Amino acid sequence: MTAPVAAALADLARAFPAERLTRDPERLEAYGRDESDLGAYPPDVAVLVESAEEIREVFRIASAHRVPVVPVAARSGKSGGVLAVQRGIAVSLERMNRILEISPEDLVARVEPGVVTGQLQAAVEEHGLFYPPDPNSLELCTIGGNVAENAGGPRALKYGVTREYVLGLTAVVPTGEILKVGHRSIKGVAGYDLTGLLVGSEGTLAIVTEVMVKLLPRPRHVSTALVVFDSVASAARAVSRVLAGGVIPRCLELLDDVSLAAAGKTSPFRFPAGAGAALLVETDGNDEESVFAEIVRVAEIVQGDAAGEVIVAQNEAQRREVWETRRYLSVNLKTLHPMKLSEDVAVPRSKIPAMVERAKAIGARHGLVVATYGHAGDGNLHCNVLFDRAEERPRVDLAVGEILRAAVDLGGTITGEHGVGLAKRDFLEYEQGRELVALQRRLKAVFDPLGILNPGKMFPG
Amino acid sequence: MTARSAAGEAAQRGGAGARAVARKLAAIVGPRNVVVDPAELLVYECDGLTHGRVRPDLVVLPGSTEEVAAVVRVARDASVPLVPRGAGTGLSGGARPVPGCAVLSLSRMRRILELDLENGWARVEPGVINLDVTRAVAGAGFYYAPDPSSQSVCSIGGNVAENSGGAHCLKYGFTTNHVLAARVVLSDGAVVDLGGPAPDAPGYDLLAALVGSEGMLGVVTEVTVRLLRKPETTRTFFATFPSTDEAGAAVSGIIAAGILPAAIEMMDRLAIVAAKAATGLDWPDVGAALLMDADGPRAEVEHVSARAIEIARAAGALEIRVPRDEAERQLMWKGRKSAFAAVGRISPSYLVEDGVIPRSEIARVLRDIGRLAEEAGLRVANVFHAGDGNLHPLVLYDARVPGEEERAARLGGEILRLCIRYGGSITGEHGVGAEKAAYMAEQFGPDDLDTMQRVRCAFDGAALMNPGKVFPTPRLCGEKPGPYRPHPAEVAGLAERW
Repeated sequence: MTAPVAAALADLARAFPAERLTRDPERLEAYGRDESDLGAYPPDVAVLVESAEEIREVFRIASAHRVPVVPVAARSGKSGGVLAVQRGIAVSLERMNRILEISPEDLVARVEPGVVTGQLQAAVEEHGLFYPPDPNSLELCTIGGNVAENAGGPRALKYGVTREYVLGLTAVVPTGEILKVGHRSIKGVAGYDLTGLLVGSEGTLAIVTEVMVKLLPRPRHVSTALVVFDSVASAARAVSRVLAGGVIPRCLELLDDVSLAAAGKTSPFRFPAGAGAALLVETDGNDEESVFAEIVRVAEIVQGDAAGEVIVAQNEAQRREVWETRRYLSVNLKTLHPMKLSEDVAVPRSKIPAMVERAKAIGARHGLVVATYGHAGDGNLHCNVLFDRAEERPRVDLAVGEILRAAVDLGGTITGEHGVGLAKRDFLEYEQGRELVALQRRLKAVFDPLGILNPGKMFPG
Repeated sequence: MTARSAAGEAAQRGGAGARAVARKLAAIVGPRNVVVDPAELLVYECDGLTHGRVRPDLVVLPGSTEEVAAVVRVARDASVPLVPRGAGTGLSGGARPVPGCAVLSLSRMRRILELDLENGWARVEPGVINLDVTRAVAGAGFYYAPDPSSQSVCSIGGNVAENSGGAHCLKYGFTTNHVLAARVVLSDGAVVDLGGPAPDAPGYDLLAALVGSEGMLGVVTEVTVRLLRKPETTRTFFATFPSTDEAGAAVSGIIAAGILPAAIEMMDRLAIVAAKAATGLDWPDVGAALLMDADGPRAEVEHVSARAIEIARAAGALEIRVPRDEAERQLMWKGRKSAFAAVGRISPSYLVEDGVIPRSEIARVLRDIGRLAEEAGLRVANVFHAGDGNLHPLVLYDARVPGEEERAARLGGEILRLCIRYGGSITGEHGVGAEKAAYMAEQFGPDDLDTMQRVRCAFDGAALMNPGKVFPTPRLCGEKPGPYRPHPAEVAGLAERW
């Protein structure tokens, strides 16, 4: 342990009760991992904070001794955003997990950052309300993490990503200011949109301690359909046709052939041999007949491009079955190859077939299988590079790098919803150029002049 | 402001005013596109907020991103403040010049550069008029959603600067929800592209910071906006109520029933009288009226409209009118949209306020406003976006009566304070500009204001982009009592006071 860390620990021990400081190596090891598969980067200490003022105190101590601070919550992120790459103090928000208020009248909820997204959704549904962002990990991930990464999900196509639902924030900046920005009303344009700037800043500008989210009335009816195609190209064609037809489904999920082969292992649906792709489509609204009419219209639109029948779920049980096909994909892929690295890119919708093809070809060149699935409606694809042994990792990393560059070259981006974090920091400049990265570094510097908050993330090292 | 004090301020900034660089600017944009003639400068002295005029040194009208970048570099080298200007329709004085400045007008950059209907976007120059975007794609069944009342004259660049709203924000959001990307000239002349095709571009959401930054963080030279498919159908109804209490209850009831109207507008008695005087509509004399649009797939819309009408009746509606055809529907909307100007028919002068409150407080706040108006001895007409709680109180006064203008301004201020007290905002869509800077410190704490100032430092360290707007005091850390304590960012040389 370095002298500054020892001094910071002594200060923390004075400021916080012992049970809120974790030094146990085993537990610290857990704080040093997330879902990025980048390995373990444990912090020197974890502080279980309970308020904005306590976080300010941590920042004061960290600033005095120049020790890094990393915010952590559910650790379900996929880009390594919470890994303590320079060790230091992990600020854990797990205790700040209260839903402070749900207001059906104003259509807002006020929550602490440690609230699990799925739990917030369940709580607002009891009031007939709806919090749309639905990252795949919604049963684990927290609102704070969603705000940090600007999380998306299948429903983003119709409802947008986390950013569209954050009306206001309370956040602590490393220099000690406690910001209360945004508003309870859905409108308000006074001053710069610091709320918008903090959403998606990956825990590098401030630590969020309270979030005011916008809610919608819950759509009362949902219809779901599954359509099989003989190729990704014909599925992509169908996606364009649906969207051009004036229907905005709440999601349009694409699965490629490798994904289908994996999904077929547990899915109640039998996919025809040689199925090249599938789309999962969902419409929603308040009038049952019109929601069903919409899904039928989707079915008619895609019929020409489809291979075989369009399966429309006739009841809630069938709907769940269709979704299980998609939700367990990530697990099922591991039955094909025990290890995988899931990449997250986005390309213009018209470039989806090209992206899927390129990812496959890049994999093949490195002797690897790539399975692609994702939110086709907004071009956000998850390219999963499958492999069997840890020793293959260097090859996998090469393939991943090429996939990221391919996305940029197709006019897309290196991350659709998972964030840059540690995993993709070396690719930011490839996409955005030197001047834009320089501007972001200047912003980082005015929020965090000492560079103590979540160092080593987002920007090339 | 006299020329001498203008020069004085410019000198204080270390520059000699824009006049000194007129020749250099002319070399960039051509002599025809630099305006120095005092008679021609007259129209640039203010925007839609017409009091507090300031004459700029000159106006420069670049025609391309490259020209904008070159102009910005010249201004920076000479420490000349730049005030970007679109159509000049803003209502908060965001485009009001400062002494010694060059107004950077984007009105020559008005081309629609690219339409991509398959992917649902249009790339346009900032001078393009809002409604012209919709006009360009309406034939193909698309439209651009944000619709400020001034949409037939205001520009997309101005909309980006102010994060403009309109009547359909409750369901469709504001400008910030519809800007996918922007090309921006930074204060040092660097050209960057912000945003992109993905829902979430990597890195910081600089686009979010830029939209609504009132021309202080950079000059937008291209904007990519989202285009939406026109909804299959729209159903409209007009409902009258004895007072704003019942109308407010109807709005709350409709939202609570899980209905998200495309628009729901409220007018009080005075606004109805004014709208009638201006348009000749046969609206009854009632205490309040609602105008609601529902849009979407036909069956859904029928269902929702019928339900909303039921709720309005239950809340105490006196009469419900459903337009027979599109022409009648347009007429109803014309009545609503002309209400601002119509107030001119019943009062020699008026002041447009713009504040936000949580929707659930509408009835209470309107009563409070009525009380404040009575105390001030003035009339206030209310016509506003009820669905999102965005009030537009119109304070009526007579400028010829000594002291009345000041009383009206004071009443406007009291109304803004009311909005802050109810947890709202001092502006819903018009921006802070020059007009409301003084109220910023009432809505935001010093920590919030400091942080905004530091964001500005990161974009524009010399504070030459639209200086004097938005922030209440000319110093980095706002007005804090006690001795000044330098911020660590200042100590590190990353930010400075001004």
